Parts: sequence; C-alpha cells; structure tokens
Amino acid sequence: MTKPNQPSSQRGKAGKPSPVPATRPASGSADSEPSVQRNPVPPLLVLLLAGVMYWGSMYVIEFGGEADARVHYPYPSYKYIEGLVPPKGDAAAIAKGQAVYAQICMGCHQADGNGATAQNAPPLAGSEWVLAKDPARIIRIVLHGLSGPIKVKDKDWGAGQMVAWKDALDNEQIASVLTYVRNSWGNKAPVVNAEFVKTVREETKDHPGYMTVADLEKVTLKE
Amino acid sequence: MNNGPLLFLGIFASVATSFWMLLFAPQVQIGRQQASVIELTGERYPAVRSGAASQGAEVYRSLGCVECHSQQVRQTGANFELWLAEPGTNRPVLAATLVRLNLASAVEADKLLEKAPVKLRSALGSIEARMLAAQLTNDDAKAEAVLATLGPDIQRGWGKRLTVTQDYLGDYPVQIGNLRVGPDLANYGARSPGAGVILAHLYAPQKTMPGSMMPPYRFLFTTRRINQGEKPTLPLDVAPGYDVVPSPEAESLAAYLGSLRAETPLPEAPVPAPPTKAAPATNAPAATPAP
Repeated sequence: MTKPNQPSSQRGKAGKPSPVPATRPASGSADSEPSVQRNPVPPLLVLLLAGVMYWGSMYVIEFGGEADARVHYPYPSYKYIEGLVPPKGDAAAIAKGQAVYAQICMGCHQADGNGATAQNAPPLAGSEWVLAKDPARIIRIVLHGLSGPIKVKDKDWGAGQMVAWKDALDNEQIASVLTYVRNSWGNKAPVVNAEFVKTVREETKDHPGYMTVADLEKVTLKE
Repeated sequence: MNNGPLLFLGIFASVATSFWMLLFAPQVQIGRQQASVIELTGERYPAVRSGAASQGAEVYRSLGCVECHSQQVRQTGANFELWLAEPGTNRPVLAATLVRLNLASAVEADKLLEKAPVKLRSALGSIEARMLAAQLTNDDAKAEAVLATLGPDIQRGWGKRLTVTQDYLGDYPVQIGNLRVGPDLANYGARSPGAGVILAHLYAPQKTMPGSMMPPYRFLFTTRRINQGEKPTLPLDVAPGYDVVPSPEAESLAAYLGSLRAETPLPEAPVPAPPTKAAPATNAPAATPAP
C-alpha cells in the first residue's frame, strides 16, 4: 500500500504532461485537479478473501478426488474405491500368473485366451480341460507339453505341439499361471497350489516325451 | 486509467484460471477417455450400440425425451454388509459363534444357517465387516464382507452403482438430462421387460404404468382393424379391436431404450456382489409349509 492522499500525477512517469488542458476552468482552488487516490484495502476485505481462499482449498481437497479422473462423487479417492473391492480368491497368485502368462503362453494362446488357429493353439477360455475341478491333467500338459490332436470346446485341433515347461518353470510358477488361466476371461475354477504341482511332477518324472490325449485320459479326475 | 496493462493482466489471469480449472483440466483428464476391456469378461465397455439402437438415440433426441428423463444414477455413499455365504458342516459351532457375536439370538441362529446365503448385518464399516467375516469363516463355513452402494436412486432400483464418465463414451450428444419428471433411464434396458412392453408403453403409457404422466406417442404407430383370430403385434392389448403396428422410429427407439444399461462393474465404480447359492441344496428343503 502506498501513502494515501498522494496525487497520482506525482507517481511513476514523472515528466509526463498533464492531460488536462490548461484552459479548463479550475474547480476549487486554482492548483488542484481531480485525481485518483490510493486507499489501503480494508482489513475486513483481506480477511474475507483469506476466508474464501481457505474454504476453496478445503472444498477442492474434499471433493477434488485427488485430481484423479477415475474418482467420482461420493468417493474421496481411488485408493478408497480399491479398498471397497476385496481381492477375491488368490489375487496375489493370479497377478503372478498373469506375468508368467504374458511372458510364455501369450504368444500362442493369445492375450484373450482364445488361442489361435495359425499356431494350432486351442482356446483356454471356456476350455473343459482348463476348467476341470481337478487340475491333474492340465498340470501334466504344462509340465510335459502336448502332442497330437485334442478336442477342445467341440472342435478338433490338429497335430499341434505344445512345448514342455518342466525345466523352465518351477512348481510355484506353474501353479500361479494355471490359477490365472483358470480365473480369467470368464473362467472360474479352483486355484492350483504348488504342492499339488510338485506331487504331479514327482509322479510323472519318468514320462517320456510329450503328453498325448491318451496319456491324459488315463488320469482319473477327483471330483 | 493509469494501470491499464496491470488491470488487464489481473482480469486475464482470473478468467484464465477459472477457464483452466473448469474446462481445460477435465478435458485433459477425460477428454480422450477410451472404452476399456472388462478384465473379468473380456468384453468391451461400453458396448457398441446396434444400428437400430443408435438411430433410436436420435429419435430419443428428436422427441425430447431428455426433457423429462435423466440418464444418471447418483450414489451418496457406500458401506458394507456381512453375508454368510456357506454355512458349512459344523453348524453348532457356527451357530454358537453367531450368538457370541450378537448376530443372532440363540433361537434364530439355526434357522438363519438354513437360509444361507443370508445377510447378517448391514451398514457396517469396511474393517468391522471384514473382522466379523473372518471370525465366521472357518474350515468350510464362509462369510463375506459385501459392498453395498447407498442412495435414493439405488433404493428405487434405478441402478446398482453410480454412473461414471465412461458410461457415456458411446453417446453423442450425451443425453444426461436435468429433470426427473419420469424415472431415470440410465439402466432402463437392464430392468425393462422387453421390446414388446417398451413399445406398448410408448403407445399407451397409462396401460403399462398406471398413473404415469408420460404423454402417449401414438404418432409413432399405425393402427389397423384386427381380423378375426389374428394376434395383435403389441402385448397387453393396448387398443382393443385394433392392431397397433410400430413404425421404424418406434422400433429403433425401443431398441435404444433396451440398450441402456450402466451396471457393469468398473474399477472406478464397483457393483455390490452378494453371494449366491452355488448349487441347489442336496438336503431336505429348508422351509416346510406350516400345517
């Protein structure tokens, strides 16, 4: 705030000629001319401004949703929304399995789990082999690979070959990727645990080469 | 004016700030939002409307339906319910636990277990509900803390969750509405009883919904005298003795109304999923009719 009652013509631009023509009849005393004066801002207004700014920032903090576009009223933050949905089933294993799937399986069975005719890869989404309650057969497929024709979802898949993963993946990885496959794209089947993969690995230690459908059908599934 | 440029800058800054906050920031955030793929089902959301339904959106627009119908479900909050999903086999222990946790009286506990899946408590906080669920879950009994969405719109059955920006991605213009003379239509397709009844409602709203304030849209239909033994096109016998034939506009409007559904669970708008009966019970029916 500048000093009050200071004539405006004395501030800044000093040498500027007065815009008022000299011939204009003077009002009041001969030297005075109308001028804008600076007054201090009333303290009450400053206080009001501070109050409004405080209220505004409080409002933004409460209803701004942390500036996240995914947050809508009445939810306060995205973290809050995430907390509303408890991870169903073995969420951690599914997340781990998704990573393994993206690295290894996706090339042939595709991201949507529908397989690809070009690579002779049958679908995993909705496949009765995948969805069997007892994972004994599907664990064998992942461990030892699969050779020869297989019927999936009423469609015959030709003589494609799936690679054996028993050396590349450990029990934990196989269990998690199978859990992911069994719980994605609309699939819903119990989780596969690593202990069971280990037993199957022991049982089929001496199996020569790839699995075939005939080999798999010898395995009885527990209900 | 001595401080013209300064004044100009001040005014410009205030206008620019409010412009940025109100228009540009939302445009940056959601202006290029894309349809997403629902992880659980692999489906695109929002689903692309069929040709008839997108023509119906134009009919909806031209008839001014938006003047009386909104397309937005509002939610006021969320809390948790405690559900008993499976009573399991060790029922006496579970019944004792229910009594101990004050969830049922000793008399009711056994009956409650028969009814599973059953809601035990509502209006709980997240931690409270999960702790109770953990105490009720043992080897084969299963209790869950289930999300519940709150609000008058949800109570009226207009939707299961709040409507979010993503629900409108397929719409241009977005016919969100600002007045509710009639019910909200954001989920009309999900709760409507089918195209036939929608058409009957357009022809004679008071026949399908007594007391409705909706004006009849008869100009969307043609009538002709019905022949003996002929079946009318529309259900509910809206015009006795006459057959009411919907025009293409009416057909497409019905297709559009049937396509209105915003109930898919989204990451930003979860939908309550109470446990359902997994398999038909193998034991004797729970309730025997009283003599």
